[in-house]
Amino acid sequence: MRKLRKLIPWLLMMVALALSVVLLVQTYGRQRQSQLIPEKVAARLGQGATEGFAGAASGVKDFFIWLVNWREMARENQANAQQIAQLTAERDMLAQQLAESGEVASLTEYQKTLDMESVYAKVIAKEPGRWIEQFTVNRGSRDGIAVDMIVVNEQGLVGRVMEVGETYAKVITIVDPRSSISIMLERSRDEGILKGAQDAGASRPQCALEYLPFNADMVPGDRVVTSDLGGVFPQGLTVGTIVEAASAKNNGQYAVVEPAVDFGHISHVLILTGLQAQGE
Amino acid sequence: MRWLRKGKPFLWVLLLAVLCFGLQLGAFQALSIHSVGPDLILALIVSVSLCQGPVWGVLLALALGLMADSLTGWGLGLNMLCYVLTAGFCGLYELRLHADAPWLSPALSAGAVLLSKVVTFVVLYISRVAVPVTGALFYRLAVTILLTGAASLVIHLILYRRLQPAVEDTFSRNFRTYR
Repeated sequence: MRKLRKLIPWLLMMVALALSVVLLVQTYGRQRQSQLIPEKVAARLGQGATEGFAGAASGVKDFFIWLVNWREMARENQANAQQIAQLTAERDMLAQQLAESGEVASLTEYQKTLDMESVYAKVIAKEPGRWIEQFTVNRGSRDGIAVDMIVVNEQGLVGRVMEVGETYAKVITIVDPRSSISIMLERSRDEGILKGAQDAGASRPQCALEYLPFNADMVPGDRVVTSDLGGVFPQGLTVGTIVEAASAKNNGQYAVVEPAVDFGHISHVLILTGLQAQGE
Repeated sequence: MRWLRKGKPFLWVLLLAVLCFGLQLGAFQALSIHSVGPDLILALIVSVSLCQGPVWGVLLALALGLMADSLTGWGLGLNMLCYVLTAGFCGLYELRLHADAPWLSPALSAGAVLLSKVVTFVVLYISRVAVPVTGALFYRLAVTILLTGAASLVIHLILYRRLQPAVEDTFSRNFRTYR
């Protein structure tokens, strides 16, 4: 019995070695189609232990990597932030150029339809606000620009030149309260005076149409165009649309006109050099 | 409380086995650089075989070898074979007599690492799996042997100090007889 007990370790080792060799032969000798049950159980047990330790170790490793590299990472972050800011600025600039090129193209098309001389100008300075009452363009007396020349874009009448420098000109728009121009209703041919916006708090600029005849025929939606009365404006330049027709006020009927030009987004204009408005 | 005292070696070996296995295949895989790290499982098997004898060592080698083989890609049986050979050798009576010597466990662990690499190489060679023999392989082997030796010293110190009372009954009696 004692001899048998002494043999147990050897027997066990022989069995273990034989098992290992059998498994090795099975593994390398031919392709196994499926896992053995002990293999599945061992894999499941081992997986639990290793996954737990691997997760913890990964956290520790990440921490040390962060500790070692945090300065470099901070520097990289700063550089990345600068690069992002630069790229964002470039993207915005390109988007703006794209929008401007579209606007310029439509303005050029419009210029071809005009049967009078005109100079293309770019808005270089604006008054901050909801809409533009005055702005400055990059053309001046050197380009043949003079005071009271009419300024338009493809949407319609913008205003007139108020002040001219050698390389710049200041434009007062039709929504400026000081502005006053002769107009007529396209449908009924009734004539009146369009004055600048009265309500600075309105979401969109609106002009007052005054001095209309008592029997003026007008309804909301009627188009308002320039009148050639006095030979100041060419007839038929689009000014805007009547949004509200009111009853008589002092010297005739009264209407509220919404300008055709989007004064909130104006960047390029045409200055009609063949004509000069008469400043009121 | 008697059962607890009797079960103490088993609990210690189980705890160290989970720890070494998890660290070896989980943590060191994540932490190691160029896959170089100590072979904690081999070091543990060496210590258990020295302290508790070949039966404990072989059983532990079977269990851990099967689990390691199932999770690593070298094929079933390879690690098991290396571990069983190590356990069998380290469980030899003549070696166990010197279990308290501090140099023995690191030396045996280093030898076991070398043995496992040789066995792996031979098995792969027989199986006609091409293993590139480069300078990096020997460099890694040298580093692994050194690290395993160091780890083995720590593991053996822990295990020997914890399990000494358990082996006292059989081992020290034999030791006295031997002397």
